[in-house]
Amino acid sequence: MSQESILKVDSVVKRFGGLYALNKVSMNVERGKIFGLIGPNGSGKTTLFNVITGMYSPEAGRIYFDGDDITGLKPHEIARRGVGRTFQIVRPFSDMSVYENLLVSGLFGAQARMEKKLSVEDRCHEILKITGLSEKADTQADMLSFAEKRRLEIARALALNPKLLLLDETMAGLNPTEVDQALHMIRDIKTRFGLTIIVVEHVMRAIMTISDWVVVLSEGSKIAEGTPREVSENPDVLRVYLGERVNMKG
Amino acid sequence: MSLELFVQTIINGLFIGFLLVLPAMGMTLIFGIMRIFNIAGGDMVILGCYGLFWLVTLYQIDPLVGLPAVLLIGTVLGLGLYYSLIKAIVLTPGLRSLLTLFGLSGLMANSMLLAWSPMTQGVPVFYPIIEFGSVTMAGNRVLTSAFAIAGTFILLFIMKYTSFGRSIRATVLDWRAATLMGVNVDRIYAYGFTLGVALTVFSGGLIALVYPFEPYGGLTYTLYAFCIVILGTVGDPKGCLVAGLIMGLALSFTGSYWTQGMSPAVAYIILVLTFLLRPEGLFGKRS
Amino acid sequence: MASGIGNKFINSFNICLAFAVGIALIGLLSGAATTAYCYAMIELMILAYSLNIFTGLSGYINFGHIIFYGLGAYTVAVSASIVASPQVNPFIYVLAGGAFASICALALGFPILRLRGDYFAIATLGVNEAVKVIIINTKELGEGRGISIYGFVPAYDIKGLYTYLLIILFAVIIASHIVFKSRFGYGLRAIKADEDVAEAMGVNTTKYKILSYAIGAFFAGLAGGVLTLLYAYAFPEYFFIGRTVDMLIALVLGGFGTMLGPLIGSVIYYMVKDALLIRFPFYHQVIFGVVLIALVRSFPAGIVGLLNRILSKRGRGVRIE
Repeated sequence: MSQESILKVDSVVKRFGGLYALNKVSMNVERGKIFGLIGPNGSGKTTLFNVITGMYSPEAGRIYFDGDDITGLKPHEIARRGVGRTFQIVRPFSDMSVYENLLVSGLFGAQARMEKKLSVEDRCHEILKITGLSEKADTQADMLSFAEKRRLEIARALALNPKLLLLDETMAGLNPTEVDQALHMIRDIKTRFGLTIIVVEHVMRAIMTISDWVVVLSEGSKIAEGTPREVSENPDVLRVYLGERVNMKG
Repeated sequence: MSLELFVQTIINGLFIGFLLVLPAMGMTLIFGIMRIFNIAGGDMVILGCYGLFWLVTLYQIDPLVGLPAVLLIGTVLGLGLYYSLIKAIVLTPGLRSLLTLFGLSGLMANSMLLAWSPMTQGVPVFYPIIEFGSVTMAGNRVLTSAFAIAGTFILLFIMKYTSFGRSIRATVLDWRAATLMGVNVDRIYAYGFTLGVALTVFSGGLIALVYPFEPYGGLTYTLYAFCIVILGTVGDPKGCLVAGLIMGLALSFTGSYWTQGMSPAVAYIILVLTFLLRPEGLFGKRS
Repeated sequence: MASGIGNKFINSFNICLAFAVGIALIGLLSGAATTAYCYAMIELMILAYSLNIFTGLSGYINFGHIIFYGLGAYTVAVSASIVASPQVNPFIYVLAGGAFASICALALGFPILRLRGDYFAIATLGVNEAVKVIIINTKELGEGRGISIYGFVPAYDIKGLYTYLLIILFAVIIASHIVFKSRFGYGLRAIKADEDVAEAMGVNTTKYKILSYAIGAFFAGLAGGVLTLLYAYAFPEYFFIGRTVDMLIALVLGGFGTMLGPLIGSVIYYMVKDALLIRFPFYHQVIFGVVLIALVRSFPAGIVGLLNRILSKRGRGVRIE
């Protein structure tokens, strides 16, 4: 496996009863890039995230992260190796403050054991600043606005000190200005922390603007991949989105 | 190890099993519909026991007439409990519903203790003993099993062939979809819960004809019901039938070849084994 | 975590310690009847704190917590019977009781802590029944009669044993404080908030649940052990599930998962219960069933939660724990 590949998904199959949520899906994610994952509803994007992060075990296939085979590992083990994620439906730790939410990931994340508590705290404060949540640090998480909760999801995943960040529809429900702010923040995060990011989105403009490489799923299978331009001109992709009034060029 | 004892144990096991299927079905129904475990189920069984007991001893009512009366008591109890207590915690598993039902369990057990003394009771009705070759069957066990089997199949029939049953099954699978299909989900919660409670209380009436009972005996029945529910797959009434018989056999063998007193421990071991080896139950789908 | 009201010295932990010192003085310096009253209150408090470390933080309800109390009690009885010498310092038996209880917790917890909330809770009811039944049916453990260790230990020494209990109380308060402030405590609270997400953020949920279960068991076992020394007797009644109701009401009343909750809840509940016991000797348990249901319905966050709500309404950015 090349040094450049941080995540390799190899022929992964995930079944629920008779339904194939993922049918021999393979992909290779290059280090330091932003990777877009798109597809109609039910195509298996979140399932793939759940398999990568260990919440589901695949029936077949393997997942390699940073050179190691992580298939079948428990979610917390995968998180500690440096894979952070957000959830499609925001799930903050409601009873805790914003800062405490980050502290949890900070304390349990990659190399957390070796870090001194002080540097964990510093990092959390830095992340709060970048995600624009510094003022709300002591507010209880369930009191935040919807957009703020979205940012908290990202901040919390960042506090894990990940090498790979999985963002699951973090822009759904945001207005165009908020989407632009989010895009800006994601680029900023990538550069500042040297991360690789996989973004699942329905907001086409966002994905096409920000991704270096795009993979398209449909009904559990990969149907196309390439640069945003290539994918937006791919007839198979357009067919799959037929019926949805989507302007692929943003 | 005599063959007679072995056969007798199996037959007793089936008798016990049939009796335990009813409260288990009540529990699985309630959980399936509203995602709450009826921790007070065992105490409802005991209440049913006392119900039949008082009808027989105070009013000299024949058990065959008393049993339907107990069913009625259970129905009233179910409705009452639903509208006063349960409605507020439907579909909210967690601390709140657990503590509420636990509190209810304590409330019922202690009320019965207060009202009717801690004495262990039994219903003093005698039935002839039936002999089948070298196997003896107590008449009361045969009778109660007959009722239990009837009750079980009536419930399964309702679940499968009536619109009420279909509505329940739809609600169990997906309450939102059920609402969209025109099911009055609130009514299903109320009637489903009532049905579960009525079954449980009724089974108490049957149990009283066979076993002694006392006010704090509810916990054991709750445990048995829970074990059967999990073994038979949560939310699946027909699973309770199979699991109930298995549990009955296990308890019977414990009684014959070990000590009767150890029965709850055996039930618990079955529970743990189920969780460890086949958590989805006998009829469940691997997730 | 936000500290208490303004002053650096007035925080929840110090209030608990201050209380413990106060009750120590009251108990030790008064007559035997008052000491006995304080003894029972402290015992409830220890049980509440020990349950709080597990249930309060992780959100998993343990209906069978009292078995650890009973296991501690029986360990003391059994070990005292085996050693059979009044020369031995009885506190050693108590420690053995706590240790054995936590080992049992590790064994019992392992199969059932992989379950989620509701399933786990009912499984703990099963644990309660199973353990009780095994003890009642084992000849070596005295069956229904229990085990007497009269002569092997200084029985009925209320003042001496009150001291033991005080040591345990200080220990459980300090342990709670450490757990709350530690990485371990954060992990547990994350589990309570959202177990799946906690797992995704690197918390080894199974390990943490089992560990907190065992720590809670340790302290409950210690308390049970001391009681056995007091009466020089261990019976199956020590496993009575009604004690669980006591602990749960104390925790719900005070406030789950807080430092002051078990303290406030135990004090109030114990005083009320004792008063009611005299007036309504048989109704009190029925009343408390109703009380539990009502509390859970209207004040699930307990008194501490209520105070926090009042404080935040007044705009003070302060939280009591």
